[in-house]
Amino acid sequence: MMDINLMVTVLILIAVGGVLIALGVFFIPVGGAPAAMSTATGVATGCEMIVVGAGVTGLFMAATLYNQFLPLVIVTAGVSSAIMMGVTMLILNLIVVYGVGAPLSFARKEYDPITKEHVKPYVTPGTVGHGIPTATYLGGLFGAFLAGLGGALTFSVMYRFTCGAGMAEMLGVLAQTSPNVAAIALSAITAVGAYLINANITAYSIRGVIESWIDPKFEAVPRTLAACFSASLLFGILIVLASMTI
Amino acid sequence: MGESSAPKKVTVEPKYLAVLGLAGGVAGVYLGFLSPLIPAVLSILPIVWAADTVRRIAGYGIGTGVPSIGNLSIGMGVLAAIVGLRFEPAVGLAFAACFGYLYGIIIGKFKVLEIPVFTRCMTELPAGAALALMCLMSAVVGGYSRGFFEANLIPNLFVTGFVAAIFWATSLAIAHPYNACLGPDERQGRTLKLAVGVAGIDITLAGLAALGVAQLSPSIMSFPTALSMVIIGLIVWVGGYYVFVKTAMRESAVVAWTGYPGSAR
Repeated sequence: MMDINLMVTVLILIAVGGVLIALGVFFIPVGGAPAAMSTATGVATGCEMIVVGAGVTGLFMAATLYNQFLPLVIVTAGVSSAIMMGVTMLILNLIVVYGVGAPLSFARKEYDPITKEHVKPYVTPGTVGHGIPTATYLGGLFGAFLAGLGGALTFSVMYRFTCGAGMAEMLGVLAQTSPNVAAIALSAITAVGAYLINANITAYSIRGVIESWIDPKFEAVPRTLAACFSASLLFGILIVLASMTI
Repeated sequence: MGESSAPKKVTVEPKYLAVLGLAGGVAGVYLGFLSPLIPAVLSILPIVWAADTVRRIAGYGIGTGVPSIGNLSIGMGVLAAIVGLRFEPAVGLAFAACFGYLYGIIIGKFKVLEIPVFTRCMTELPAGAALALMCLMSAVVGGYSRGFFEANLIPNLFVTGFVAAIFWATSLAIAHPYNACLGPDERQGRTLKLAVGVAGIDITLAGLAALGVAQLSPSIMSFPTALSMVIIGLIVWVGGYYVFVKTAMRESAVVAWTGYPGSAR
């Protein structure tokens, strides 16, 4: 009954989505609890919440554009996710600068690689940075864009598969005039499950705090992405079983 | 934190908890046709089992916080639970355990995280989470029966959105007990008492969802059943927390009050 080529395509697209989400998080400056006290650079929340946040923003946009051309859907979702993260980081910088009164800085490098500003002297002794300086801000925007792409790709593929779309509809325009609410609800829950599985692999490999692409922990990217790809392929089998045509 | 911080002394052997959780969860799902209250009540056992597994794995200090483990278990568990309710609950349980085991192998192979008990715990966690979710999801729509996925579950639980509440509440019930109790003086018995209390919250939420289902489709869920599910949940919630607070007060150290107004002595 089921088209085996279609299933394999779905599996691979879900795995690619998982890899994009994981790669995105490496670019986002994750600060965790220290950042909430302005004693570290980055967004003041955990790795996992950022993955799910960026993924779910992509999911919302993908659910709104449920029947559009697939590449258009995922790029739009990526932009929406980048806007979400940009606003989050901007508000955090406003709070750090005007509320806490700390200059934006990080301790990993002497100079900001983008603006060439001398940032290290502004780091308070005993801390590793404050707020989100330019280099990490740009990294965060790009990371959120990648994570949004991944989130939308995972959700759209699951939704189209649940609706019984063929290969042409899967990668192009979906011939539907009104959304299938049951399929959206089912794919949203399974997509959140997939985000959480990938989020944890990234979280274990980052272990708390990362400062975007200037951080030494960036070396862990290849094996983390390999682990995410394998795990997504594995759980993709369950996802395909769970989201067969309703 | 290193290996020395791994939990040592236990009140209940993890083996017994696993057997209880497995037996309770499977019985709960399959006996749902008698009354939806059976899966709702029996979902406590897999939740306690999963909470104990979280306790064992998070005792090593994984560097990302305890809730991440709860969310991971629920992420795997929900996929297996949907497959299980769709085809056969026992198949869903087997998938949860096998895929969790393979996930643990992948994490170890790529050297993402190296914890000795990781693979074993990753087998138990998704199994417990999937059983708890299957119990609660089938309880809300009147118990598991053949072909109820398309007819009952999708229109009543997924389209209405109640599934999101059950999803996160179960994640909370699994992650919260150890997250709240962790520390040098943590004790298994106390943590599991809290787990029973939080499982009560989960059942109460499932009961509230069942109240909604009773209004939407009275043929599969009657109003008194839904109401008694809420009441059972409230009893477990309040009872679990009462016992937990009593235990915590008995085992806590005495603190001398030095503030204002002055102490009695």
